[in-house]
Amino acid sequence: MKALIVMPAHNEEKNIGKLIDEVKKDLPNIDLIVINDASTDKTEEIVKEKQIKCITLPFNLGYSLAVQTGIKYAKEHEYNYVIQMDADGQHIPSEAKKLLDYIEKEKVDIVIGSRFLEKTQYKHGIMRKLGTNILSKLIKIICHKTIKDPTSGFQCINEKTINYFSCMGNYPEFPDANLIIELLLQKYEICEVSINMRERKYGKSMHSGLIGPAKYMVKVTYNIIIIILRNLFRKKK
Amino acid sequence: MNWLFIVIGIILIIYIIKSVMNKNFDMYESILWIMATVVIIILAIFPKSLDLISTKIGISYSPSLVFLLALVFLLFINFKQSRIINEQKLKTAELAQQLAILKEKVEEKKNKNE
Repeated sequence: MKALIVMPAHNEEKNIGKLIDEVKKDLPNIDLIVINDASTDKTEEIVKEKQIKCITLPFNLGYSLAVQTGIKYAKEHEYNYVIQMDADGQHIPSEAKKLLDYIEKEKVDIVIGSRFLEKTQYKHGIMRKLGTNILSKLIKIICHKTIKDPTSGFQCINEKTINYFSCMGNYPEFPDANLIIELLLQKYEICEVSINMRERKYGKSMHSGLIGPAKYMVKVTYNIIIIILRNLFRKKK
Repeated sequence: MNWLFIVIGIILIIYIIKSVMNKNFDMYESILWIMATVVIIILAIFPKSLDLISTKIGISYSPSLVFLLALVFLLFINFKQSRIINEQKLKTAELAQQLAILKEKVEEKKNKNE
């Protein structure tokens, strides 16, 4: 079994050093690759100093395309599993073991590290909670499947999903609920595993402020509508 | 007959064709612009035709037909370019990804040889 941790990083010099040490200590058998999304700080130097493989994008592509780059790399090097982990220190490396164990044992296509399956210490803003609930409900209505934490970026995917993601020409800007729905409609199996998450120490979340989350919700909802329509036409054909 | 607009139209056509000859204008796109210019010239030669058409389709103030045509034309081109930009964006992203992966591969080979 070959597993790869894909860690997209954009200006994370304060978090990434510690995180890499943690991964090395807690997950010694799993490869790690950092996708440096055109950072302007010392992220790349820190990663190379620690003797970790680093793909540096020529210009900023954004979180989701950075992840996809890692998935494409995994496909080229024939990895069986990819674990997506954020470089801001929110995702705890030792928790990745749970995801990997689950996906190996249950043979599902995607395992999502969920913050809400059991009560964890993770604190959530009201607005975010509302957004997450709405997306969770949407998945329930459309696909009849309960996904409690559709916005979690801490996921483990298998070979089938690696192939699917790496060939997607239009990988969405926010690969959350919309992508889950797309895969569920195509009979992929998605499961959740309860994990712990930390609060971020430095830097801001992608979804901070007022306009950002509103834009996010509009884009994701729109994407879901398109996916449903596409699926309808596919069925007719 | 409005000589001023006929001259303007002809100058525009010459300019467009020259741009295509210098290869800094896309062939297909230039056909659209030439067609628009031809419409200008035709209207300049037969100004009465404008009134005729506008009464036929129920526009009482005929110059507004010109604005309508211009608007539809510009929106069409705008939409088309929007699509081209998006296509380009996807392709650049794909290229950037491939380049980054290849670069990593080359560096690894280099390190192995050293």
